[in-house]
Amino acid sequence: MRIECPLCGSRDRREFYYSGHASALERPDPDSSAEVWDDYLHNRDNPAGLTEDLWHHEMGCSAWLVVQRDTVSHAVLAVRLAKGDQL
Amino acid sequence: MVELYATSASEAALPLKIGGVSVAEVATSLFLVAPFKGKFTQAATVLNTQMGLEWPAVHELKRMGGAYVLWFDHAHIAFMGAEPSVELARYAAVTDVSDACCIIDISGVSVRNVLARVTPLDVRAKSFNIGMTQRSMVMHMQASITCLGKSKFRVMVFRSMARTLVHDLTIAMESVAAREKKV
Ligand SMILES: [Zn+2]
Repeated sequence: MRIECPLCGSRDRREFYYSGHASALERPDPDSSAEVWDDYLHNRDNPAGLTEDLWHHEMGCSAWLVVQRDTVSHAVLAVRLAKGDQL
Repeated sequence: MVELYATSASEAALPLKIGGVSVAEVATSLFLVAPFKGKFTQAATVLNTQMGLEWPAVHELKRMGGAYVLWFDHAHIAFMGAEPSVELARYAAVTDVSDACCIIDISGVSVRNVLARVTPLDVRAKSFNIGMTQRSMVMHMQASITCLGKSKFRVMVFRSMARTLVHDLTIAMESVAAREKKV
């Protein structure tokens, strides 16, 4: 499996650290209810198919990436820098 | 008063020559520069007006005599052998990390064969040419690798990894030298 880092180019999966679903970038408003925060922190879908993950290019440029991939075929479909997304 | 002496990262392990490849430690100052949020344009202007250099783009190395300014990661550029101008600190975080890294030059006709054994990068000349710098792994170490000449690279790892770097390079150099021996 290879990931196309927008900065470094196509790199081996070993250079990256996986950090769960990209929904972590959609932090709720601080005043949101406990249910909203609970959902944000703990609840994840487990899709067979398209998903978006956060990967850290730990052994490369150190950028956080949003990787769109297919959990069934393992195809990596799109990669973008997480920088600029809402945090 | 106690007198303190700086010691090199690799200590007595370098220089090293095996087969046609040599490794030498580079004694140089090293600064990391990260523009403050929204201040990239000002920082790049200062680098340009004060030091006569363009901000290095991804994978780019700029030379200034014996000094180097290179892309370091998604947020930093690095100064080697040159002090960033004081003015730059108004628009960027400037950190002296001279004693945090082990910096070596590795050279010789078979240098690309040696590097191919320790990094997953494509080290062929057509993909990794003079003036290009990349971040990747050297075995399990986070490294900055720069091509300084047709058969010369600069490799930088965390200082705490200096002996591991020498160890891993030694094995790779011995393996390449053994294969190249005429039977
Ligand atoms: Zn990268």
